[in-house]
Amino acid sequence: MTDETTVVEFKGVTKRFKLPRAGFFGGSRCVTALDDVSFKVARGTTLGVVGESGSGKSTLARILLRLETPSAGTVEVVGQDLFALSLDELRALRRRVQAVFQDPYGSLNPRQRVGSIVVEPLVAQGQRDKLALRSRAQELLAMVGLPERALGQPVHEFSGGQRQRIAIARALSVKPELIVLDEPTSSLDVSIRAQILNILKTLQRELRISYVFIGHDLQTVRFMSTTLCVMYFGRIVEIGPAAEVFACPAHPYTGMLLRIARSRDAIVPAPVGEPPDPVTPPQGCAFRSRCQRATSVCETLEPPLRGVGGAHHYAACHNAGARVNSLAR
Amino acid sequence: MAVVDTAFLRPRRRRRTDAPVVAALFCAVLVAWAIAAPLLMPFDPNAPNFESVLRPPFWEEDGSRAHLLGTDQLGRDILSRIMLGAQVSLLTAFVATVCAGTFGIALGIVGGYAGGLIDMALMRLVDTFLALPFILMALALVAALGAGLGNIIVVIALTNWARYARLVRSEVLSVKSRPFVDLAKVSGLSETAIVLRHILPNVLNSVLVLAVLDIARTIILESSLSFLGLGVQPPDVSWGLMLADGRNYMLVAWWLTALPGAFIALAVLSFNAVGEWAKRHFDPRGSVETAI
Amino acid sequence: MNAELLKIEGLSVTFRGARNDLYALRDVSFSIGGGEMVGIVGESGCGKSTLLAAVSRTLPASAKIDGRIVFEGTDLTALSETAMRQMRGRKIGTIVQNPMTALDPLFTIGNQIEEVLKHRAGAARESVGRLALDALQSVQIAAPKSRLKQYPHQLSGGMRQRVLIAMNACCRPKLLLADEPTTALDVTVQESILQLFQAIRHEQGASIILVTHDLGVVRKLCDRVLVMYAGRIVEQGQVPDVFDAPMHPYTRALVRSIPSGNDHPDELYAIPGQVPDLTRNIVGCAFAQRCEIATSRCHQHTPDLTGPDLRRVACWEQPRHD
Repeated sequence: MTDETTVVEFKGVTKRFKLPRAGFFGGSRCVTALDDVSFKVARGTTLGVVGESGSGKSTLARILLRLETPSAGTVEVVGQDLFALSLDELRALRRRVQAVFQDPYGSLNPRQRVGSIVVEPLVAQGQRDKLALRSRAQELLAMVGLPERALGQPVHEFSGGQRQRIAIARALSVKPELIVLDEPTSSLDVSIRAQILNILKTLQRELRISYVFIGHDLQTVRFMSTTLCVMYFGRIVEIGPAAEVFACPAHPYTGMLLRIARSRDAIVPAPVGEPPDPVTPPQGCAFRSRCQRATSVCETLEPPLRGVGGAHHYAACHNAGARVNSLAR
Repeated sequence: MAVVDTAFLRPRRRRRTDAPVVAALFCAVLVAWAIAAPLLMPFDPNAPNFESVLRPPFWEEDGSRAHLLGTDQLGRDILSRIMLGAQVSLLTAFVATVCAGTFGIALGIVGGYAGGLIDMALMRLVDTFLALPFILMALALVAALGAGLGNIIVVIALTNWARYARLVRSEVLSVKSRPFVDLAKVSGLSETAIVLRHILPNVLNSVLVLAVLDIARTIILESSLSFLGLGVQPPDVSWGLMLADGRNYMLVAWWLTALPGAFIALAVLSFNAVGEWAKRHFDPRGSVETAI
Repeated sequence: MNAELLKIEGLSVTFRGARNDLYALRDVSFSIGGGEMVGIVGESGCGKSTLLAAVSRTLPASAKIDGRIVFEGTDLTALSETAMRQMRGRKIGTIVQNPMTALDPLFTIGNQIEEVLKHRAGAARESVGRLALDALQSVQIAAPKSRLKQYPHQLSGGMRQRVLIAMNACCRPKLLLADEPTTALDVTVQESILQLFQAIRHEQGASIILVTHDLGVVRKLCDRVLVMYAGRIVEQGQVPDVFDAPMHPYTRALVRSIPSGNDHPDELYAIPGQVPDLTRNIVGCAFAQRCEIATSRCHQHTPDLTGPDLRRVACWEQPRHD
């Protein structure tokens, strides 16, 4: 059943990477970067994905952009199965999903001029008319607040923030329905970050684009998101409307992140430990080594995503509940 | 109260540059000779003149202004021969480098971009060629193809291509991993377009640096082969051949060997200096050094 | 009032380039007492990292340094390299952003800590093994015995940073210079690293200068903060004062542009424009071009850092504390 308002849907996506064997006699090892991840993104909204290193958020982005192939599960973009397409169908679909990455210096080809960079997706789709391309390039630069003379300038004359604007302009050129933003402001200075985030929000309002916004800074992701998704160790541990997840976090990891973000003047007492070794994943819940609510069931059974509290709000915790919400504030 | 900030105003300084000006000028002279030697030469380099045999250069006692660098045992003008020799050396260097470079770039890109078994096969081929000793290979090829300018260009290209392939392959690996390549895929660009528009232009810088440095190397290679009699044959002229010719007269006429030898050395030094400058400016990460 | 541990007077650093000079630090003066935790915040190009490098004398040879850096009565700029080497590691410790660059990949963690203990902390050979174990335990590394035998690449980023902190702490330095120590780390790991810094200050009485672009970190950890812009200090004071009632327009704008979880505006406050080009001579206040309240005086004359010791601002439009 394809829904006109669903732009992207992940259904049970799992991704495993093979590692080189440990020594001559070790068996083959693998890392599960994503484990049974499912979500939907509605048109015109932003799915914010928050997670730390090892959470799988970047792998999620790469699969969504078809830069990696899932080991299991399906990905549907505007109703079409992303990994069952022919080359021509894929190229047509590429028009609908574009991306902006974290590194402003690596995201632009240093040998290209700005004018040619921003219209490249159009050229890839077959647009050849030089005049049309040029006028579209001018339009795009204006949308992101860059002057027209930038068209002929080489990339190295621009600062980090300006480069991200160019990258955003490029993503907009084909009028996509979804833009995947993987930590787009994490490499930028604080004062520039605000400029870029404002531009993104305005564009979303005006053009009704959907975003998948990935970040590690809870405040930034919250600012951008309609729906918030928290990932840990390759799994979604909590997902729901951003305001609600923020107000009533059900999963202890979300609670931990919120406590740290909210405590402005004092250091939060050490959440001990680190994420487990991805090569030897533990049984049961991956968060239990750091969790204050862990009980015996957490050691044996991996908690499934279950509805908690409000509508469309899910968390993967055996001990999620109202009692804990008050502790999390 | 504070006054206008004059503390940091300073007079404009002349731009400091690290360009090797003298070396570049010398290279320019050689290139000019290479292009227009037949027009610039004062004498026919092959015309004997038995009245003016073994004349020393003009600054020596017996020298004359007519033959600035002297004459050889057949009375041929050394300066003219050196100019024509420049044409041969640089022509060989240029053509051999272009051939080696084109072939090496093509294979390097294919291997680097495709990866997997193709890449492995390519690298083994490269290793093999790099392991073969140059002189041995030259001897074998000359034995098969015969001596002469055309054939030594082939010989030199065959010994050099592997370095380009290895350099390009490692550069491609590094460029491939940069975000803008992934973003080009996301844009919908075909693999060919990605290679031509994104990979190749970013690889060319270091290739150019290697090519300039290679000119110096090729000059020595060609001179060595010609000296051994395997390369350029008379009536063609080459610095290496001049060295071989003048060997028997070294004790009586030093200029027959010293001058071509000096030109070889100066040419190598100059092209190296220009190449090093190019490396500083176009290959700051030092990919050329680590790859060859 | 604590005795002054570090006093910087009129420090200016200029990097000589092939084509032009970069004025990285311009006339910076401040002081730190014993056991103080001072944060230096600013964005790229403000000179904060250059400042730390100047104190530890690790600037490149092309840098021209003017002014004085007085540490426990000695002018560091006048010391010989040998004498400075003695200072570094024993009295002045350094924590860098990427610990991998400070750890030798060829030696085990145990080896590296023991070496530091032997040569810098002057520990007896028999006791280094035990002391190394203690050092790892003091920074809360789990299973320290097995970690001692591991190599740096086998540890996570957070653990490497703890090892680096342990290596510095075991020499009991008087001053610890930390350049973006938590920037590359996950948020949850960051909190525990900040706790370590607190512990070092508490137990050893060390002073810590923490350089970062993350205002939140400074707010949680530091007593005092210096805000830098384009090579100068524009505001300094106690952390609660500066963040709750910022006086300099740049500080105000910085604080406003960070999204906080307690309010969800539709738009963030964004400072227009960009940081000025530091290779050009800047006349007047460097922030004037982007400032909402700049006057003609601001464009012509550079404001000095004025005010009582505990609260100073460099702005013409501030009430003066004369």
